[in-house]
Amino acid sequence: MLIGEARDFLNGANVDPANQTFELSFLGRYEYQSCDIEVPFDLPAGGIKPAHIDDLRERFHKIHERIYSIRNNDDLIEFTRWNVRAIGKRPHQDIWRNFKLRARDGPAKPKGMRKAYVQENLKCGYIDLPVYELTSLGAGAIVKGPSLIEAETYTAFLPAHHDVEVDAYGNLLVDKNLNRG
Amino acid sequence: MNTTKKQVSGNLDPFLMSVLKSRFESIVREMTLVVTKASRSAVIKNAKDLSRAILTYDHRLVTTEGALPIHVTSMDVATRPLTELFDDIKQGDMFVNSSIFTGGTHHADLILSMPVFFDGEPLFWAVALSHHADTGAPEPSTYLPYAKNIYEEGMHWPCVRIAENYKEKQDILRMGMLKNRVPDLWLGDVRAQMGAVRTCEKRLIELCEKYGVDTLQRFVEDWFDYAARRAKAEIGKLPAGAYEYRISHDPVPGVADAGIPINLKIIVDPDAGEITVDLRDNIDCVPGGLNLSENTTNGACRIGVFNNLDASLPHCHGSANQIKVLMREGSAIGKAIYPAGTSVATTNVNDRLTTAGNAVFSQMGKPYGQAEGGPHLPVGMAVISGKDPFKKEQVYINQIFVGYAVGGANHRHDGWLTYCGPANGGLITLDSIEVDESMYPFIIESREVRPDSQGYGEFEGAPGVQGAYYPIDHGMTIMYAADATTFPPRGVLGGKDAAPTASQKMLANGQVVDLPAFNQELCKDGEKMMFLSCGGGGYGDPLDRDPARVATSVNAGWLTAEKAHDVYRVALNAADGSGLRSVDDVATRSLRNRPKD
Repeated sequence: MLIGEARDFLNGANVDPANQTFELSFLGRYEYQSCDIEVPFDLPAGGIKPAHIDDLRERFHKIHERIYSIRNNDDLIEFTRWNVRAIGKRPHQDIWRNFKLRARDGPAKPKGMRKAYVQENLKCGYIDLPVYELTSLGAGAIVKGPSLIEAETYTAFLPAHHDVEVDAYGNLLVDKNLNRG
Repeated sequence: MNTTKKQVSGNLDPFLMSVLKSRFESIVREMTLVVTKASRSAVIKNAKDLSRAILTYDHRLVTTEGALPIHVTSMDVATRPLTELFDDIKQGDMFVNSSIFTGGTHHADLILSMPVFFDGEPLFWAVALSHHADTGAPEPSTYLPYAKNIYEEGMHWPCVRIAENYKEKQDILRMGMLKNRVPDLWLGDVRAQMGAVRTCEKRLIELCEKYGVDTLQRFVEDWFDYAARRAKAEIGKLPAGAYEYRISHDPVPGVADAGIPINLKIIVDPDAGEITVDLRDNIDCVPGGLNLSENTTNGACRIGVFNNLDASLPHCHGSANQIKVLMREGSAIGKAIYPAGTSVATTNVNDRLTTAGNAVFSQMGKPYGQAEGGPHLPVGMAVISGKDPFKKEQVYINQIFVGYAVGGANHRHDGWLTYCGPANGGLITLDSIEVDESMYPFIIESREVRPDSQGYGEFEGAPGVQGAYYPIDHGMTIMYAADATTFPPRGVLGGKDAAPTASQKMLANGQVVDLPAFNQELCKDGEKMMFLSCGGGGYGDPLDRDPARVATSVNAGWLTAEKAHDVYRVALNAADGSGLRSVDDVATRSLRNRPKD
């Protein structure tokens, strides 16, 4: 019934059925607790039947253990609320995925050098760092720390032994080679 | 941290030290959240009668973030017996201690400790303490002022291993459940503590992996050094000398007919940055449950001193080490010896001892010291029990925190309304009435400030709290131990005493009767329990109080206009359009120019 209401809501908002998804969860607690926890679950075909209770109970125990580091297998579980999260995507919401950086041709080149105050363990002071411009790097570019990468909305500082690979969407994937040198 | 094996030196850079200090605090806060949210009993999840701490493996207190002072200030006393009693402590072990004869606070505080290992080396103790709703005592309460010895108390856990290799020992847990009126709740509450120490273990191991053991060891030593330096500097500002304070717990018939006197003496040595608290001139143990444990005596003395030093001082091994406590074995105000009764060791006499520590500094004159605050266990924080008529006569038992004692004033500050006794220092939470009523078959009819019950002064004590509650469709047993009924909190340096605590019951016919101060009362269907907790003492002469503050108290409903006029000699104008009253400056000046009485 909740899913029906959620579907009606999204249909009323003219969300294409192909762009509709529904996430199910319940709120629950052990008897006498005052705080609920949210437990995600998948709706079995044909709805929830008594045979599914064991699965729901196990899901609750696992989430409780993840949050509180403890589970109480024999305790009564109270299911206090059932939730459906209705998600409707706009058309072309993922269009940004179509825009990919061109592949990097050759090693990344800094646009200049800049002094920056850097602390590593007990050592600190100004050092000269190479500065890269994100828009000029391209997909697959590798930048090694210590260095700076400037983007339109942020500046990333890479400490020593932190290497970056730029992915096709311009994300910086940092690899911490802490054991290196 | 096992620095006995490997001496380390500190000197971390101050930024990293600050980061690690906050990381330890956040771990303890996460432990507190686990216990609060995963526990079952209202006394734990609702009132937050719980505390968490991290100690080094050689029992030095590192972090106590957000903990009740009396629970953790001497936690080292509670964990030290573990390494004395066990020579096979391993990763994945958990131990419980609730016996004052092995360093505990009192029998209801179950102290659950877990060693934290990294690369096979024991580094820390993760500790979670919860005050349990029941201990299986002969009477349905965890506070038993008439219980003469351990044989009349609930279960003592004298350092018992309840988990090994991360697995609960079912035989041990069965013992605990068997000796408890609410076994399912008890087990759920214990497991919440287990969750907290497991969480702490995970986080500390993550910290070791990120920063390395050596860095953490250096942090701990630096943290202790910093706290010691801060404590020495604060003590160095105090006037040198010996100061004495005498206070008394109320008479308890058959236990201490004239009350329990407490003699406290401090010796302040500013040059050494040390304070010695001497309690050796005190009476022997009394034949009741009001005797203190070594843990609580030590803790109360440290708390009294800390309360008079800068609030930003870290409360850990480094600062505590600057406070020396001298006590006597076999004394009620010292180290009780087997089999003395100590079920009330964290509250009543302990409150008075902490209060003496707060107040003794007032002997130095302004601006030092504090007025006396209210002690524990009025009817508003009784242990209630019975059989729930709405749950097939299921037994319930729990301590409520509906209306409790308040704080005394100090220089520049009025008393703290939600202080809940010096043992708790404001860390206990007033119960949510909705949660209480949803769990137990009773109605809390009212809870409000008790006007004119405060001790007046230049800075006035907080007013007490009053109210009423009643059971629904059954008889409810109420156990309380309302100290400050005979000896209310006193003012200092010219401040006035507060109104005493009162315990009353309204009978079914509407008649209100006074009840004994230390009592087990059956509140029948149709009757109401009425609580009136004492106020806190005042600090300084009431005639020195700023008239504007007097008007504020009146407008808040804490003080009547009559007392404003008679005690403070402040005249107020009639209420304005918003219902507030302002000071009539001319009339007030005239009143205050009269000679003092």
